[in-house]
Amino acid sequence: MGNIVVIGPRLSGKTTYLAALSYLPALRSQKGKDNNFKIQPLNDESRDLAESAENILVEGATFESTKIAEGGVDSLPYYSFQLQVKKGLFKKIENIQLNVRDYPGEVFEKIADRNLSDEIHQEFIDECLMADVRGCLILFTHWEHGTDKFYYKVMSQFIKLMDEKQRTQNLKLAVVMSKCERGELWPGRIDPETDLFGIHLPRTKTILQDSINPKNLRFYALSTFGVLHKNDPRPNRIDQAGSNGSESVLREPNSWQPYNLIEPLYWLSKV
Amino acid sequence: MFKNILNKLSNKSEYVEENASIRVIGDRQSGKTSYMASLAYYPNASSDSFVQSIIPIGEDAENLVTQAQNILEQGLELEPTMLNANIDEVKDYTLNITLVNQVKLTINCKDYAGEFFSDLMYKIGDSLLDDYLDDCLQATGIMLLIDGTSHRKDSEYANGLDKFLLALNQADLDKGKRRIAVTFSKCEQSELWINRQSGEKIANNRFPQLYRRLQAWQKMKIGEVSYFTTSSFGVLGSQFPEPNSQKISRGREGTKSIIKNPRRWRPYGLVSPIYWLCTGKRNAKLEE
Repeated sequence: MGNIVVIGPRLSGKTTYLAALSYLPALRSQKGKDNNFKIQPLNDESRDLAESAENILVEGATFESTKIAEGGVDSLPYYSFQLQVKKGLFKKIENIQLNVRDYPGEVFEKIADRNLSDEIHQEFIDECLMADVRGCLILFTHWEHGTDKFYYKVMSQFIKLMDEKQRTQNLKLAVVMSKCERGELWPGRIDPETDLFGIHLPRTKTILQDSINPKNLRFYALSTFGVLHKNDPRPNRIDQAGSNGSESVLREPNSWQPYNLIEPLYWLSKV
Repeated sequence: MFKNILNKLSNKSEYVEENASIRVIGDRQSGKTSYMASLAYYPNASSDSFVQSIIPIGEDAENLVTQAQNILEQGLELEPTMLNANIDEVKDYTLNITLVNQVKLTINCKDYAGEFFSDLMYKIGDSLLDDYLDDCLQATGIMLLIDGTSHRKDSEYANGLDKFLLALNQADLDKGKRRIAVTFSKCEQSELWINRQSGEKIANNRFPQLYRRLQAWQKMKIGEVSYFTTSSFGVLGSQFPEPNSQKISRGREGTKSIIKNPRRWRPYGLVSPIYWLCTGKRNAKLEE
């Protein structure tokens, strides 16, 4: 059980990720697949999201980026999911209710500005670090030259804010490299801590490990789009030009197989 | 007193009777009238409930049932309760609550306008406000109803409460210890529902300033505080609980909504704070 927030820079795939989660039940029934996890949307917001996932992800359109709306932080939707977990043959089914908030990337990027006089920004930070929030899913996506420095800056400021709000000991952070279907990243998905963060984002990784209690920190790799097939690891994704740069859509909706969507959320929701 | 109740429980022919005179205070939109109306209309809720019956007594309480029909059967939004020019005009509802364990609670409950609480926060030395405060001091129990989603107003609530507690402290003490039941409303909302059985945790995590004031007050040993969660609308389903409410708006003031499926109305935790205000004990059966 827990209230969780998803944060990350613009275009890191936060909304797409949540949409894919809410659409998973439909995907499962299509493929007749069963797994350790089952997920089910629980409120109007998450069901609406599942509907847009159907229209957008599968039919090849893209999501609008999440904007800071007029109502400020109150206008952010709260998505609610029921997670059913059955790990191992003789284990009992665990039922976990998860409530997730999706933050505009703009707010996250602004953390590095250190200019926190902005009232709306302060609102978002207060809400995100409120004691009622158990965990943070942090989605990173870029790993080109220079991004490590930027993420490092954002994270050191974020840790400072956590400290101010007395959250360094009790806020779980699942640090995720998103869009791991990319050829250069796909092989690193098995051990993301070493092969993705250690190699591509070493400073970001170090500042997190130095400041966060190891039991509250884990590194993950995930891919909302996945690859075409087990034996054909080409990304199931097409990049196209969009209003804020490059946007991605599913290449072959019929063979959509997301990778590792639920595991980080499951870990965050555990006490 | 506890022994007394036990004795009476073993003698099954007799009901244990507890009375309380309660004032429900809370900010605008905290859901006071919805709460009262759901309570008055409770008999129609569920047959396997721990609450056997709730019977409204008198004209005011019967009007509540009409309100309940509007909110819960027709899904209407309620008009805000207006602040009366005179404290004597405030509706005083009497309800008879009978529990399965043969405890009978009779409460007189006044539903103040939300303006009362916001005036507490911002006004000083207003004679009408003083009248309301004096009336509040006559009560044996105070129910402070707070929209659980309005946590961004925490510091304002804490300030309003300061003035209120000050007035309580200055009043004479021959009434014994006062009880304040802090009750978070709208807990059908998913982010609150998951913590519905830990009201104190909600207080501490979402309303830290309010919580600290109340804990400090309790330490002065002139009163007791306990934390509750409630939902006038409840949720749909038990394995996959979904809020049985449809959101109209959400803002700093909290969440405004109407009931979604009136036929599956199943309120949560309505009687629990009252039980505690009457008896000083919590009853787990009322918080399932």
